[in-house]
This record gives sequence, structure tokens and C-alpha cells, in this order.
Amino acid sequence: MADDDVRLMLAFRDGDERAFDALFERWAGRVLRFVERIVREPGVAEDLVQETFLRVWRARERYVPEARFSTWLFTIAGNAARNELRRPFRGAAHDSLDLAAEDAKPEPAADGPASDELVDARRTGLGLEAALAQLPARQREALWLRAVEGLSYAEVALALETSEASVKALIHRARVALARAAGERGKA
Amino acid sequence: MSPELEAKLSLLLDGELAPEAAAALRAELLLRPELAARLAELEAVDRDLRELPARQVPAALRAGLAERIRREAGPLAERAPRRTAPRRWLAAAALVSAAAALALVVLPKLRREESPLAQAEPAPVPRAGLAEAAPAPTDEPDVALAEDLPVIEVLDVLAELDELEVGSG
Repeated sequence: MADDDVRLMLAFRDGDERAFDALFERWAGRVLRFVERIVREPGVAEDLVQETFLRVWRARERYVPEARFSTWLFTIAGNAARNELRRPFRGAAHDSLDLAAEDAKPEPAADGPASDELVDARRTGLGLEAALAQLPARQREALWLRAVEGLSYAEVALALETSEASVKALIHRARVALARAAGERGKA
Repeated sequence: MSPELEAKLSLLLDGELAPEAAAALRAELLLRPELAARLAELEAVDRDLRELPARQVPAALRAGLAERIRREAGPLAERAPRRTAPRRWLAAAALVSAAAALALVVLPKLRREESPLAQAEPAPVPRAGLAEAAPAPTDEPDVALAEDLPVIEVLDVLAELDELEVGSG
């Protein structure tokens, strides 16, 4: 494992504080974008970025590069964000964290009726962000990590602590739902 | 379009389809425009996601992180020194040892060879005549300080002889 970020993390592990600054510069913005899509509250997302990098800082001495740095980082960020969603009195109904149930949902028929969430998205005239927000958290997370951050299915599975088969289904469902929402927006 | 075929489009898009299956699907895309159009729609989703605006990381976020680290680092630093601390300690110890060795080996020689006093005067002995019994300064004693103890012992013996001589005289 020899990507630049891993090298920086190893340098930080060995006492180079500037390497931590460099990692923050490189990744804080991307982590912020990612957790914002999960929790959908800017202030909470900023706290989660802090929490993510604080966990990186705490883990420095036991860091072992077993995966790409980005996979490790987004795993930490995703866990922090999911913990936030599990807190009592927060999270809308669609932020379902019944993970097994969500992964096991049957594939929606491609030509079937749009889900209530997507109908809502169309009705309110919201754009992609809104349609994304209507997706279950796991679908959002999986698609974002694949489409925006370029993680492989295996890496997404690692980050979401699930199987590659589940990741495949989560990503495809999310993509189809967003494509359908885009089509609805186009007609409106 | 079947859900299975549509799922294959996703896999193709993500580069997760086996090479043979990918080649077969690409061939099919050439023959079926509606399939190619669907692939383009799915591709557009990814592209649009990547193009969503990103806001700057607020300066307060970085400052807040620095403060949280500072708060944690204080007690942690007291309880458990960083991994690098022992290395620094070892480096300091090695430096001190090297300096001590330098002092043991080189400085006495320099003192004798370079100091005008050392060149002008012989090694101090209690009195003339006993100098033959005392170890004469030589060019060899690179372990000079280590030999200081025998010199002192010899001087003590000479003092005792001196006392005996006085007593018998």
C-alpha cells in the first residue's frame, strides 16, 4: 500500500505533525461533502469532520496501512455519521438504519411506479440534492463513495461493513432512483 | 428493459463487470439505442453528483479541531510520551556519551600538547627526585583520566616513603 496519503499517514504515525496538516488539507473538504450528504445539516457535518480527523489523530500510533487511506478515512467518517443518525430525536423516517432490512429490499421494477420519496422530490421541484436526500442513507453513502470518491465495490463494502453483493444492489438502486428523479424533473 | 440488464449497466459503468460480460454488453449497446440511452442516463447521475457544488472548509472547523487536539494532547503527553520521545532521549544520551568519550580521550592529550602550561611544565610531582618513581608524562596516555587513579596511588606511596625517610633521618 504505497499511495501518497498512506505515506503521509505513516509519517504522521512516526511523529511528523505536518503530515497530519497535509492530510487535513487534502481530505477535509471531501469528508465534509460526504458527511453533509448523510446527515444533511451543515453544522453537524462540520462537527463530524472534526470528529473524523480527531479519530485519525487518536489512531495514529496503531495505524497499519491495510487499505487505501481514503477507504480508511471514509470508513471512520461514515461510522461517525451513522452514530450521529442513531442519536435519539434525530433522523427523518427515510434515514432508515435498519441496515439488514434495507440491504434486503427487493429490487424495484424499472418501469414500476416511482417511490413516494421520489414523487415528493418531483412535487417539491427540488433538484438532485433533494432527490439524493430522499434516498435511504445507505444508498446515498454507497453511491457517493463509488461515484464521487471512486471507491471500488470492495472498498465501499469495507466502509459500510457489508458485502459486495449488498453494495452492488445499494448503488444500483440509488442510481436508478436518481435517474428516474432526473427524468421527472426534466418533464416538470 | 429487464432489471437484470439494467443492473449490468451499473456494473459496466463501475468497471465491475467481468471482461467477457463487459465485451458482450458493449456489443449489445451498439445494436440497441435504448440501452445506450439508459446507460447515458445512469452515467449522468454520477457526473451530476460529482459536479454538485462544494463549499470551503470553514476556518473555524480547523481551529476547532486544533483546540480539541490540544485538549487531548496535554494529558496524553503527560501520561504516555509519543513514540518519538524515547528516540529523542536515546539520541540525547548518545550525544552525551560521545561528548564524555571525547573528553576522556582527546582533551587530556590536547591539554598536554597544546596548552603552553602543559608544554612548559612537567607533570606536577611532589618534589624533585621522586619524579623517576612517578609515571613520567608520555605521548601515549590517551586514556589519561583513567590512569589518574594509579598516579594518585603512587603519589600516596611516595608520600609514605617520604615520611619513613624523614623518620629514619
